[in-house]
Amino acid sequence: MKNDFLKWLLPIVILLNACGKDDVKPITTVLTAAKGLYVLSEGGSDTKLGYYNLATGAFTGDFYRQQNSDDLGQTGNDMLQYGSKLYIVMNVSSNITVLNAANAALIKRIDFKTGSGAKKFPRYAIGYKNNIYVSSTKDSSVTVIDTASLSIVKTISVGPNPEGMAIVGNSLYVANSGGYNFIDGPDSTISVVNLSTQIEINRIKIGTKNPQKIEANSVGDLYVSGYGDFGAVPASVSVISSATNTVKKELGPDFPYAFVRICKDVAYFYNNYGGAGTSKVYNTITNALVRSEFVSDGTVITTPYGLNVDEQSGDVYINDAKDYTSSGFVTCFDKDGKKKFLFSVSPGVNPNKVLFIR
Amino acid sequence: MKTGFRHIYFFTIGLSICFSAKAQSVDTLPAVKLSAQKVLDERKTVLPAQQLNKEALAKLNSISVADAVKFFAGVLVKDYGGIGGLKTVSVRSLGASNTGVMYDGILLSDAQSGQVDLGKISLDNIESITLFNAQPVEILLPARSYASASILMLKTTVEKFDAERKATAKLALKAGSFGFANPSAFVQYHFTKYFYSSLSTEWQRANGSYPFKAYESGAGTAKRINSDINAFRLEYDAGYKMNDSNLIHFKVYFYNSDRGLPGSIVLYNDVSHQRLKDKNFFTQASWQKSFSPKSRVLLSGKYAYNYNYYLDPDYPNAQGKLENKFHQKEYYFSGAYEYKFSSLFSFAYASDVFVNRLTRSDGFVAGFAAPVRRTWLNNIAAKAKFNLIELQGNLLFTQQHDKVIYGNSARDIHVLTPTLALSYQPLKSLPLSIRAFYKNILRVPTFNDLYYTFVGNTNLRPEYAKQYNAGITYRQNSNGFVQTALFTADAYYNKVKDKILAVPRQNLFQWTILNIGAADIRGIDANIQLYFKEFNGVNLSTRFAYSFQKALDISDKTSALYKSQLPYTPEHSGSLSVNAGYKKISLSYNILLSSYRYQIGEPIQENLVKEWATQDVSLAYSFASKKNCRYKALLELNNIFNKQYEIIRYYPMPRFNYRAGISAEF
Repeated sequence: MKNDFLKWLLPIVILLNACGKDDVKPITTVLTAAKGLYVLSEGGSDTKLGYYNLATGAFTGDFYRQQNSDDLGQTGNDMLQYGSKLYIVMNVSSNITVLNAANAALIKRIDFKTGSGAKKFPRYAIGYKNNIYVSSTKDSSVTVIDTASLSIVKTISVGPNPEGMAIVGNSLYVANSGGYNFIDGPDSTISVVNLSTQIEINRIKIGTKNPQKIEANSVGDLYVSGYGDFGAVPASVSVISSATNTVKKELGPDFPYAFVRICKDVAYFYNNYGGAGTSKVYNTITNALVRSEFVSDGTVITTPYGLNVDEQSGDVYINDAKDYTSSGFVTCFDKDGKKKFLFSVSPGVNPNKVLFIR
Repeated sequence: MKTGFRHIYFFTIGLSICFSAKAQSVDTLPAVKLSAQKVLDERKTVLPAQQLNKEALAKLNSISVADAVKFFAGVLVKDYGGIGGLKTVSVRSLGASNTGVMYDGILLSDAQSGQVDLGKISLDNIESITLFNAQPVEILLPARSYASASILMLKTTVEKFDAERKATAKLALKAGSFGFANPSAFVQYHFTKYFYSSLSTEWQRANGSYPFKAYESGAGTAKRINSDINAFRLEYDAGYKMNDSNLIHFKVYFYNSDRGLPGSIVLYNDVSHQRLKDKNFFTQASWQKSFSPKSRVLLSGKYAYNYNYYLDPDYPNAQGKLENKFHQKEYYFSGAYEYKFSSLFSFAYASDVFVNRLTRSDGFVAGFAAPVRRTWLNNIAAKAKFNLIELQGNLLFTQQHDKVIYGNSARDIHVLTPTLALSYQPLKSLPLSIRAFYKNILRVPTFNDLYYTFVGNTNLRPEYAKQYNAGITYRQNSNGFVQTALFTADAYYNKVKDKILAVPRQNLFQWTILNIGAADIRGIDANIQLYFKEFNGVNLSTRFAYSFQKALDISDKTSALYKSQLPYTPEHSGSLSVNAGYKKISLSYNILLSSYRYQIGEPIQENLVKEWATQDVSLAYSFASKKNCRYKALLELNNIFNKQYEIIRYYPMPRFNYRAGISAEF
């Protein structure tokens, strides 16, 4: 869910790589205003890709079916725009569905199966140097897809049940959740993958258990949020320095959040279940709390299920899964937490990702 | 079965029906002949009741109890497809755990899930299935038979103490589509006039790999995978009759199955390797003794052991698989006593004590509650008859205490719940009765609700269902073309509060269980049965059932689902069965239908699950040899128009399929 941010970071990353330096300050890219939004809803049984026209306020709930006369499949967990293509991570259908970003026309479905034919359950995707990196739950791996051939070129072993990923410099950071290890308990490590060799080179132990998300700021600090163990250990946030690949600090009990999104060095912490408020806003450079509650006008989000920031306008889109069975909603707030507009993603259920189409 | 009087029907193969002229009180029934059946008179029951006996069941293209109960009004079967697929019943839109299933007089129980998979109960040795709304109409019953919103009563044995021959046996073999094979055997031996033993066994297997229309556009036909089943049943029964008023029954039951769990169809990647193994064992005994014509006692006892093994060999944990091994034990004892003050007024008291224990022997044993539940049910019931009015009522006191070895235990339960039923025949000359009942009943939280790892919630309260019912019944016997016409119609209102629902808290992992549901259910159940006069040697009969259900979710006023129809609940559903007999041939035509429903979610097009109808035909040829052997050949053609339909979204049902069978009785 951090990938729209990383998408904007991409030119920087490429530049960084070209310079061969790790400490280059980000260059401000000029973005045009978004024309529309792609909204991915996991669904109860059917994943929906909807399109919201920001000019007219019209929402097409099942845009994928309209464009392809077919269904996406089950449990779309993540969506990434890379180049001219859209990559939808279909968790239960266990594939990456590649679409033309302009019109959502299906280009290819890339199956994610283990050697024995079992589902790999892909979770999240991130793009880098014409490759898409996809974390997969079943075989604890990151799969590399070549964006030209749209085929799998490599599988990198990482820690158990990898979730979110972030890229700083030439390194891929992968949150190893171990979230399926109910018996032995969850994991609390971050795998570091060298993106040149595509091999795991380090595993950083963090305080946060069952890490879900990892996001980087402009100075190379990585914020990792995780569920805890659903028992005695609460959700929490750890901060890693990419310069040393060590834990810089633990944010402690004031930050019981399983999810984080960073945009322009501002971190939005949230939970996708009844937790501490809708979202906490934190400045990752000054390490100061911006607002303890992002929503400032009393708007109620029943079940925050995704938080995405339009980097150009600073608008924050919070998805509401309501009761997880009826249609979800997307509420757009300005950067100060005041509601601008809201729309139902019907027939989409459990909306998790919003992508900005410019 | 002491409510009013019963007709006795003698069925012979090929469905020729004779009505016995004289009505008998069932209590003093003379021993009936081998082919005879006790048949419930649906008109005479104070509480709504529907029955299918062996003869009727044989004509319904059914192999399990779940298949057969689809023909009852008010019953929705959640059928996940295939022979091995889960099949649970919902009666009048109350959840599956609100229906008690009695097997030869004693409840089958599953304290872990609260529901019985009726797909696992074969019809091979079932003599009759009776569905009672509220509870059975007899009052000399264990207290537990009062403790559900409805009771499905299964009977496997009929009294056969004065059999003409010492030994009887039946061998049968059925086979059909999708690798289905089902041999069965039954032997009964009468050691004396007072003692018999019987053994019934069967084996069922199927690869279950049936074709269905693929869900992906242009993908043609796909096949259900991992849908195989292999099940074995062995049942021993013994009956000992010291005299006419002193009867003992003993039963041992064993069931063993291994099946694939195909799961729901997943678009583009329909892989499943999950397995489920069950071992069910129980032994039960009952002793019924009359001390005098006025005073009777019924003692029952049971021990049950259920083992349940679930395996997901693809589970993404460190072990590379997920295994659940659950063990359930039940110890049950019931004493019931009835006293008849007169032929018009009787009174009964029953007290049941049972202990349920759930343990597991897998990797999750460390933090598991391993609950032990003690339940004590006390019930008083009374029945009175004044001229053309019949009254029946009971008060049930439920006490429950759980003990756990880890974590918190559930709250204790001490609850008193009543039932009141009434029937009235306005005119003695007119065979029409009106009836009404009220029942308030609780459904206790199951072990899964309370203690399931990460999910269970020990703060749960019981769920309550208040049922109101009013109906009419009409039965006309005549010498005209329609010899018997039976008509029943009941309108009901059920109000459910504190409904126990599983609520997802997070994607994939985190669910929790809360008392947050409420439902407002209004409906109509109607049944028509017609038996026609023999015409050119052809005997015709038909039965028709219709249900209307408006079952609204009133859990949360702020929810988009408020006042929408409960998931998977059609407004209209029904069945029609037409049977014709000519000499040795019997032909049946059966229809099941359901209007559209919605899957979980809002009532929008996207969640629509389409209406469906299936049409089945069965053809049987029966004949007897000189040596008193009877043979029957059977051909069942199911879903003859090859319709693709689903009862549960993404669980496609089989299209056209067939079964053929032969049986020999000697």
